[in-house]
Amino acid sequence: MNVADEHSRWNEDLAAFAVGALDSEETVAFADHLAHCDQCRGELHRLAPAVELLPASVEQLAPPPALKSRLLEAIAADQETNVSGAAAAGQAGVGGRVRRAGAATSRAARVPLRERLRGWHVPALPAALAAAALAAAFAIGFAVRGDDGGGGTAVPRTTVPVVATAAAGRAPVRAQLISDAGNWHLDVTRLPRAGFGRVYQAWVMRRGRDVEPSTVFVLARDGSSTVAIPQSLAQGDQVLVTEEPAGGSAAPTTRPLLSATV
Amino acid sequence: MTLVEGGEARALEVLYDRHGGAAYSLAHRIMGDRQAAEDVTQEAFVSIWRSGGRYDAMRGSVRSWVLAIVRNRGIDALRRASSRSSLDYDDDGALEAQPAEERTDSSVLRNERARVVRGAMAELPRDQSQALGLAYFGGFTHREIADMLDVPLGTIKGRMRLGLEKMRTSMDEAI
Repeated sequence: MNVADEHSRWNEDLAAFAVGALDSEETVAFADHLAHCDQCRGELHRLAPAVELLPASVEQLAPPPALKSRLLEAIAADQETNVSGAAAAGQAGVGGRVRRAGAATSRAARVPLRERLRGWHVPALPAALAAAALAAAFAIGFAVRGDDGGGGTAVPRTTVPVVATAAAGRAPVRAQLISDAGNWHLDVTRLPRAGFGRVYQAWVMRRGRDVEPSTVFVLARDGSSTVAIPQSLAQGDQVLVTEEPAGGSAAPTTRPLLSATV
Repeated sequence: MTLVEGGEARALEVLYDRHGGAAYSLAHRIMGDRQAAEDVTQEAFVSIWRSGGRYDAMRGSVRSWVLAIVRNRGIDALRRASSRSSLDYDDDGALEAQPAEERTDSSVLRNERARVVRGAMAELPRDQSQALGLAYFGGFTHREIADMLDVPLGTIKGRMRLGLEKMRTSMDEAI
């Protein structure tokens, strides 16, 4: 194929590229061609105003006023999450966009356990069941280690399996609850993005006691997060993760997606 | 845009005031549903916010940039609800489906420009406007459109190209 034929082949796809009608592989290939083809770039530049007319051709509607209010609320919540997250991450010394549960969520400690768990069915995960849970379809367990494998003055490190509940669907979540010298954090990867205007929130549930709100967090772009759990945890305590409205909740409002029993 | 990059919520509000109507209108055209259009519009502006308003003045106007984001969000939403049949997409129906009460005086000027542009599109042969509409508002690839209309791929490529060329010419004549 000579140069003219080669160019003609690309030129045939130029309009489809301009209106976004190439599939992803074709788009990448065409963009690569554009990078070193002045003629195609010129053609694309010439047709660009016509493409820009397409969205302008639709009948103009006034958006509902409530839409602007909701948008600004979402932005405010996003700001709060990021600012608080940066502070909390700095305090906790871990990465990720993390936010400690605030004053509002601390009120949850006064909400009766039964009321807070309405609609939940979160069986505790005794150590004996942990292995079985790992084999289950939704299990996302990891090897449990009593220490970091090192010797001498190594800092004690405990890793607890985290189980994705049925509420998490078939998301390929991987997570582990880790204690480094008594400081707990949750490492999460491949968790789907929370719904729009929503965040994830960790909770601590102790036997016979109220559910305590813990850290509110959002995911990094790759779906991961390192979430500091500021509470001290004892054997039998559970750490749960739910999806909540932006800013977090005083009490869980959805079924837990992740569960770990120390 | 610099203020949006700097995390100024007020700047995003101004951006929304200027382009929110066009964004919502495009989203409504793509989604064909008021609630879905609101969701797409909100998602688009939040993504602009979260991305720090990465606008490149070399690549066109702010409005074009915002509308491209809305279009991408809308097409993503359509694809997520991918149970749709390609033949279910009503290329003509969305405009007619809009409730009359949403058409307000504040949109008259924009509508006037839109009317002129629609005139340019209306002058296109039906097969050309259909191919462009299915691609731009429906999010279909040229291969999908060729399958849907049962015509060769090369024909669809040609219709898109001719349609854009004709709209470009109409613009030049209008100016």
